[in-house]
Amino acid sequence: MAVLEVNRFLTELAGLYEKCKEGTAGKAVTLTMKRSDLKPRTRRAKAKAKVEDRDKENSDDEYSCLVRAKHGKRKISTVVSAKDHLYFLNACNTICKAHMDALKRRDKKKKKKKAKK
Amino acid sequence: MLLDWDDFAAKAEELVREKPLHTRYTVKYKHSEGKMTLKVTDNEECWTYKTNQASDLKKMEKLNHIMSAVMTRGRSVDLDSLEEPSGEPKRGKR
Repeated sequence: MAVLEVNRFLTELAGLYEKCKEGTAGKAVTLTMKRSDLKPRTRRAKAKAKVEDRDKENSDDEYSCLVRAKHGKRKISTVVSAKDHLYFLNACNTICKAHMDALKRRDKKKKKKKAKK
Repeated sequence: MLLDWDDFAAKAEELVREKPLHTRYTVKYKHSEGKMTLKVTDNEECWTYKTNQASDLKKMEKLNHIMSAVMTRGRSVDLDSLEEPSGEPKRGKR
């Protein structure tokens, strides 16, 4: 899975939503957020970490947010740091809002009903 | 477990603040069916919210804001000190 730059990721994300609309590849677009310290962990380290996790979580290290997106077989991911966070969030929300247009709008329904009357 | 919005948002925020390293948050969108599913899980508990209403997009934005803020800045993040996402993007549209 390719780890992309934030801007590149956003472009690709928009692309995924476009493809989803066209109906090619899979049906759904999945967008996942997960906090990550990006440290490679072996199994042993994981077992240890579980015990120490509570202490770790209390420390205010700089964490980054791992964001993944998937549509069909295409998977992309990026890492968002605290610095980029607001920028990414705004862009991401804009993209999501722009592309999720298959959802029902109440206003339209009401207008239609009024028009029928 | 399926919830209504208020419960879901509350549970989601609680979970991510409690176990920030183990919690993941997923937005799944099916265009063909016009449905959106939000999911929060830490591999022990799992909460979902399903919708087909466009009005829920605004709520989703808000939750996105909370989740990503906690995930990038730690659980003690003060949400009010951060810029609200609603103000800028309209002006900043390229």
